[in-house]
Amino acid sequence: MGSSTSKEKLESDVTQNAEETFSSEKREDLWAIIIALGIFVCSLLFPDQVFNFFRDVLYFF
Amino acid sequence: MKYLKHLFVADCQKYIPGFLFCLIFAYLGMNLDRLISNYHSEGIGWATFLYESAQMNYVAILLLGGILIRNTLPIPKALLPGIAIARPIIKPGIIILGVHYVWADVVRVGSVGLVLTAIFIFGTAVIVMWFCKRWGVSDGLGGIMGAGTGVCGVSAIIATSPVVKANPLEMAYAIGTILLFGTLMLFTMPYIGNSISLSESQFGAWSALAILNTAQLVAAAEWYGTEALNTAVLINVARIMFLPLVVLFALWFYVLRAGNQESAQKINKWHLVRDKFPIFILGFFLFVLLNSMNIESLGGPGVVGSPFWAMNAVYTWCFAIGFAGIGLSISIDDMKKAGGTAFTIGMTASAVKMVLGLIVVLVIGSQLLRVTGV
Repeated sequence: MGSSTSKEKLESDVTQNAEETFSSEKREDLWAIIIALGIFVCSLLFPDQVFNFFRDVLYFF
Repeated sequence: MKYLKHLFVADCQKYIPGFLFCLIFAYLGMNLDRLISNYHSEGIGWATFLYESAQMNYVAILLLGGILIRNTLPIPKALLPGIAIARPIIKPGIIILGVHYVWADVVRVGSVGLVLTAIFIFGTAVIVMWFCKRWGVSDGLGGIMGAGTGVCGVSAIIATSPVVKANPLEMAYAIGTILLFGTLMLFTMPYIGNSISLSESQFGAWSALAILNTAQLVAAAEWYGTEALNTAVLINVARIMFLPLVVLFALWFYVLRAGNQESAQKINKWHLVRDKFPIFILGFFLFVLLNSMNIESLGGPGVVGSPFWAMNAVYTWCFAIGFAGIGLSISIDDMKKAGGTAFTIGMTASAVKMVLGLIVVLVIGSQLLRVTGV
């Protein structure tokens, strides 16, 4: 009885753990698309400024 | 709408300190790279040695520096959650890299990549699962180890774990094995590639076949050169598209084949494929499509003043933040979690895959694997 309960608890923990972790994978994917689209929009509107910021301004040498 | 609920977490403040730490580290690493590059251009001996002989560019600086910091300095636990979320910043970099390709590249290199990855993925998965079953490794650990060594490492382990009912300790073992192998390969493959004069496109294909973790293979390929990166990313995209199929294969191998119809009926196969699909590659294909359409107002990575030219300046920074996260995440103590029979099988299969991958790319040659971008 005790081992059956602990097995069910383990299975439930595994499922929950996997779902939470996989949910974070989906979150990463969605944020990746949002960030890339944000950069795309900025580059559409201000291409020279975006280029200069990432190629020159961010460097102090 | 269903995915929107995944966007935010309740306690996002805990990620801020570690993420800021990675941003600062990436910033310093990129500037150190620029400094060495400038001195190298001026012909200063030590800088030329570091830049050319030791290949000490921003990839090496951030990875090696990160490992050194993580394993020698007392990193506060409050920084760890933020460090963990820096690694996936590589994904927007991969999406932006879509502007480097046209459909002709996707069809040519992607087709080769699809065939190679299909053979290597399912070959490795079947062999690892079979040996694990034969040598008494639990279905949970054998299943995730087979998926992890076959397809894209950590993501495959996470995606397969509910199907084969792996427990958290087994997941830690499998992830430890994959990351340990990837770390070893990340630091040795670029030197092996150089020593046998492997072309950049061949190295890119080799790293995409041999290194299991997306972030680590991007790091190894970027370390080797831009052409290597272009080929590696395209073949990796082909590889991770197989992820849902590998999960279905694990379902068949451990549940259906074993005659456990009751468990199998509880799983909706279509939902399984849909939920495991790595959606960020849709963003990558969007930019490949836009670049292939030759839209004048978007230009291209080489067209000065165009939007795609501007975007091309950004992806290196995304990678730098991700590499800072990888370096700072590599803890020797965590690596010690890997062990046992499954570890031996996983490491051996990965090593064999690496050697076979090298032979295959040498046979195929550079031409078929080269991304032209035009």
